[in-house]
Amino acid sequence: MLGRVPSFLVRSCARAEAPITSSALPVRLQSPSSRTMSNSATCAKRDHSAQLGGPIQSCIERKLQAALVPAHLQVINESHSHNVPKGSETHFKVVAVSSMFEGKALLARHRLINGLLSEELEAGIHALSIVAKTASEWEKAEGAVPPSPACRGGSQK
Amino acid sequence: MRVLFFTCTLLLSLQSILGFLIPPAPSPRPRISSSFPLRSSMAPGDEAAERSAAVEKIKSLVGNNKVMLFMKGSKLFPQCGFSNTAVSILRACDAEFETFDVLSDYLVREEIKNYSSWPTIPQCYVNGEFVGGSDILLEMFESGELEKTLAELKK
Repeated sequence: MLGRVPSFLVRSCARAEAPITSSALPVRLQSPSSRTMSNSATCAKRDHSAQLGGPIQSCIERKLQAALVPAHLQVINESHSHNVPKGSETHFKVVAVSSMFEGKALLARHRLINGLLSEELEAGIHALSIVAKTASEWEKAEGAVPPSPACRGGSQK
Repeated sequence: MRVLFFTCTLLLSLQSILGFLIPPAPSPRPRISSSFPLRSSMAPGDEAAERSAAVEKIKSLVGNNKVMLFMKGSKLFPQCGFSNTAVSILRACDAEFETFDVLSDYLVREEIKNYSSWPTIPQCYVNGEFVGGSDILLEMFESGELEKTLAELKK
């Protein structure tokens, strides 16, 4: 399969166990009783009023953890790789492994995550890269996550 | 006293002369972020008509092109890494595809998100149907599903 992939798309050997960046700390499965559902409107409004600094990543993690009960979850702030001010929380990568994706096509899985994060997307997230797999798919992929592409400047001239 | 009077007169004269020669400092312009295209200042009725026209443009592009990619930048000069990935994948499949640069039209950029109920760019449509963004295109390409889908278009 790798032989069919052009060199520019060859996956990195980033493994689930090794954080991609210092902010990519995996969130382990919690028992249902310990799950807390944050008020989604509160997350977006509070964080938006703080000019998208700091808590957006935590908010995304809480929402996805509560809704997907994932076996594995990584929320990575990739904003530093893009043409945005330092400290921004505008570009994210989500890596989620969950039984909620069983029987769902790729588009449906992505729409599920987009829906869960709709308020954050409205509030200013520019890019949301998603890897959404079932446990068996994750095992087959050996935890490999494709690297996000380099920024090309976006709308900045 | 005469010297003082003469000096004051000279200074006043110089001031009026310099006032003509040196233009006033421009008033500071408000800072406008270049991150996003400027929003329209049209009347609400005009903007509704413009938005409707943008939706019609989207429908036309999606309907008239078997493979249509809404992206940032152009096929030759993508201005976004994810858009570049999408273009690269479609090229790797030898697909015939058209692109639209959403950075050139903020209304299309906004309305395409409503059209597909998808919040980000790029967006790929095949045979009038929304397929996904660059992540989905990549997974479909790796599994062979994308080439199979595109091959069926040629039949």
